[in-house]
Amino acid sequence: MNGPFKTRSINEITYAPLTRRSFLKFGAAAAAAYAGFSVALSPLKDLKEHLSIEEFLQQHYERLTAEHMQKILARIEKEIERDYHVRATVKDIKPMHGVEYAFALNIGKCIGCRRCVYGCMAENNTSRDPQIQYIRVLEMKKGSQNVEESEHYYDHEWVPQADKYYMPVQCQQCQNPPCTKACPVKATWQEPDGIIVVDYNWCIGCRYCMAACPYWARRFNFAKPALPPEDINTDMAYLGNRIRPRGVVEKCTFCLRRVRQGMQPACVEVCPTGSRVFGNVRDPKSPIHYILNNKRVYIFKEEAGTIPRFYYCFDV
Amino acid sequence: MFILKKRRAVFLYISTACCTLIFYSCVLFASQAEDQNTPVIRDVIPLPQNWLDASPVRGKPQLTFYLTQFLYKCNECHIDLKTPTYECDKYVKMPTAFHLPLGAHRDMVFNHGINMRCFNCHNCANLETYIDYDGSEIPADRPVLLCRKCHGTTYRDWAAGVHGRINGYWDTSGGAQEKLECNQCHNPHHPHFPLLVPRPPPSQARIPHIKKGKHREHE
Amino acid sequence: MLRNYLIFLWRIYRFSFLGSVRYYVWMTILTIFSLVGLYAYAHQTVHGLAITGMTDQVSWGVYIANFTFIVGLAAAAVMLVIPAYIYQNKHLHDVVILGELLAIASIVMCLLFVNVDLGRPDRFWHLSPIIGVFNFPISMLSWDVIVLIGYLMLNVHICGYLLYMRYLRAQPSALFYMPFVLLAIAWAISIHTVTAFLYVGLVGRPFWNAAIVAPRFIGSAFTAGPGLMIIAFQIIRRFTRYKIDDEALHILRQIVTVSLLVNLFLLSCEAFKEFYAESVHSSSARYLFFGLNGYTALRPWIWFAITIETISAIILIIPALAKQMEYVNIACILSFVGIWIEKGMGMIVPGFLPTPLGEIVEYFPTLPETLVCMGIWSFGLLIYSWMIHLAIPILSGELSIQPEAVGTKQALSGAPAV
Repeated sequence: MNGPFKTRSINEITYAPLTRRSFLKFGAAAAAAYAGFSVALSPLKDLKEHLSIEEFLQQHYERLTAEHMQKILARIEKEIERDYHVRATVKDIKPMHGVEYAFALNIGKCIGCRRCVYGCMAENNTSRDPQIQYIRVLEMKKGSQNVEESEHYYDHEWVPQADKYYMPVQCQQCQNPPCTKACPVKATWQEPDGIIVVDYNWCIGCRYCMAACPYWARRFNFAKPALPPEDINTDMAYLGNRIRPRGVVEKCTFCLRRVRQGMQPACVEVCPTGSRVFGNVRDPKSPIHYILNNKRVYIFKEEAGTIPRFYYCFDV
Repeated sequence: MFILKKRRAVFLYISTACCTLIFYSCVLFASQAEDQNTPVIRDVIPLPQNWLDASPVRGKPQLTFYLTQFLYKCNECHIDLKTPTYECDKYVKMPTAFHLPLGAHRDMVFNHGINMRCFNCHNCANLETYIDYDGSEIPADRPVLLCRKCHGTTYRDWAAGVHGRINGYWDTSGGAQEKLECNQCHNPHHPHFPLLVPRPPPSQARIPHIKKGKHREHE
Repeated sequence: MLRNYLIFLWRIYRFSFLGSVRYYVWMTILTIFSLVGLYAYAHQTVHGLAITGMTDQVSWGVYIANFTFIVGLAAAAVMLVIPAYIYQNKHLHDVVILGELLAIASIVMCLLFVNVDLGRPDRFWHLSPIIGVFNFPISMLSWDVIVLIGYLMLNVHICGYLLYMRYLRAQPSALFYMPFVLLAIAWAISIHTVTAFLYVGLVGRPFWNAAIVAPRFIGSAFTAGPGLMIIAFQIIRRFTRYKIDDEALHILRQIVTVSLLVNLFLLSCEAFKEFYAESVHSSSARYLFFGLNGYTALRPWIWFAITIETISAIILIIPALAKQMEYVNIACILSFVGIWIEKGMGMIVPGFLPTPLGEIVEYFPTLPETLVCMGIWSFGLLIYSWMIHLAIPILSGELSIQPEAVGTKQALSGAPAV
């Protein structure tokens, strides 16, 4: 009894020499397998993503030398020109010394107009299709802090509506961030000035940081970002508002390109009510310091232990 | 004959009194009605096209007057003391539209809380300026010096940079900061911050279609 | 010695393509399904993860759900190892290797599911310690990478060594496999615990941030895994000549029974905690079990899963039914499906909903996503079938070293013959 083989044992068969019949059979099977394999892989002919060797081999941001960084920036500028038909300048802007940022948002004054959301999109070159917005404004019922009762997709003729208050949420740049703990490749980390950044050329797109974030602050590029050339902000920073590739995570960076050059973030610039206040928390004369000392300040989801740098306040 | 005359006089007196009563009660009713039912008037500001538009909701501070779409400066009408204004030295309750002289300022809406006297802010002697506590002038382009007369806490916040926004640079050594004046956001006569047309809600393109009947709260 | 090994590998390769008609048909079907999955994945490579049903709100879907479930299957192989080696149960010796081969196939499936879920699989090398950046020990995903690859290597070594020794008709040296076997026992528990800790460690997701998640994972893994093995071993018994004692199946059945009861107990503990004093933190559980704000997509799934698990438990604790293999098979299938639903749709998706900002965006896998999952499951079955096809003859002695053939040209010639 030789199992499925009636005439010879397995031992004999596996030692048997090649015959024409067996070669043809094997050839036919191999050809069929090859054909099946090529059919299976045929969609790849439509692959438009370019992946250069330099990009594939690029090291982590913190291991790059200055000259290497210049080469990378030049390559990125070329890629943006090729893909989006604009000439952009991408800079690697280092943090300022002795500076730590904090952000305050006066929810007594916020009227939910969402100009911050779109100002942020304009500055940070987020994808328009599929749409990515770093800031999400919640329309909350007065008398409750329960975000589950909030409305995200309100579309009124005018705001604010009488019985609601508004709470915009974006990356809180936590001092004890759960997202940086989660990342298996350290593609996201906290910079000395407090901003949590993502190296878009290092991120593997596992989205663990998105699961970890208690504020739903991170977004994923499910597709290649689509932006019309006239809407692109051509002043870009490597860790900030440069156009991201597909398959990586992004989020609010406190407008890193702007704030590290001393400017106000875009959301602060466009907020019509002046609800947003940004500054260097180490400077005792800064407006953020004034708010932390004089206003009624609270932290969103303080029980999570994340110690955000984003404070919600209201006037006395 | 005497009785007839007396009755006529009495009739006249009574009718005059009634008319006066009716007249004043109408006035009282009208003014009270307006006092009680004065709605909180807020302008609705439309959406600017540019997403990075940082202009304040009311533009530049100015002391101007619109009448039938024309813009007037104060001294175009109030050339001298001849063009009548209310008596500056008297305390006068905030005139309602009913009381105002025909034509000018009639369509203005006043809703500044208990600050209902024109000349608490406006300078009777020089209508192109505002007036300070001691009667000195406050220039038209510095309304904050006027508003802080009463709104001290807000002024302190504004001075620290937390009331109204700061455009430009958070780091003053890096560049100029721009602060706004009060009336670039607040209409002094009905200063409640205006209503704004909001920008569109987030796209729901990748979100599975919301079934009918489970419609999200929309207004 | 190396030469023998190379010849062994060559013979294995040839024998992979030799079999009965049933074998060919089965492997062809699995290959076709795997290629369909590959086709769908090629589409995903071209268009990005946008063709899946995942959103920013629910950023992990069926890929990670399947990954989580299959890690449990892999861990369950140890359930055979403990009685066989620790308790010296002779009946189980026959099937330990079959169980460990299942672990190997499962780990391969897990690695595939993780890879198809990555946004940038071309950057896989970023995970390596020296040339990349490996965020060990802080990131739980880095722990997961280590334990999964370690478990794979452990099982490949143990199975490979034991099978090769059997092929050589030599006595395996305890030194080369017992320490690894003992290590594999502890390691198996750890792979599923680490996978559970991926979820438990996230403070922003109250549905997951609970101590009971890890025991629930282990409980459900040790129900589904041995259940699958009961079915698989009966299939092997039916289609090959390999002898598997009924006693082995009954030991597995007892494991399934106990684990299923523990799993149901832990589920009820969870339900009590969530619903006795309901807070905002219980919204995910309410969404799952009862629906929230009109969103009820998961409700029928979880109640179906609980029902069939309960039926399975009832079958298994009634002695008259539990003795009959037909009923045991039904119970195993029911509990396998129930736990797949409970762990997949009942654990992963509700963790994301409501989002930390209170939004509910329901998740529905798309067709390409489903085809990729099907492709990977088929590929896993393909790998397991292939390994069984190789292992059974080796274990039974039909495929063993032929001393007289060593050194002849025949041993090194051409393609497989029929």
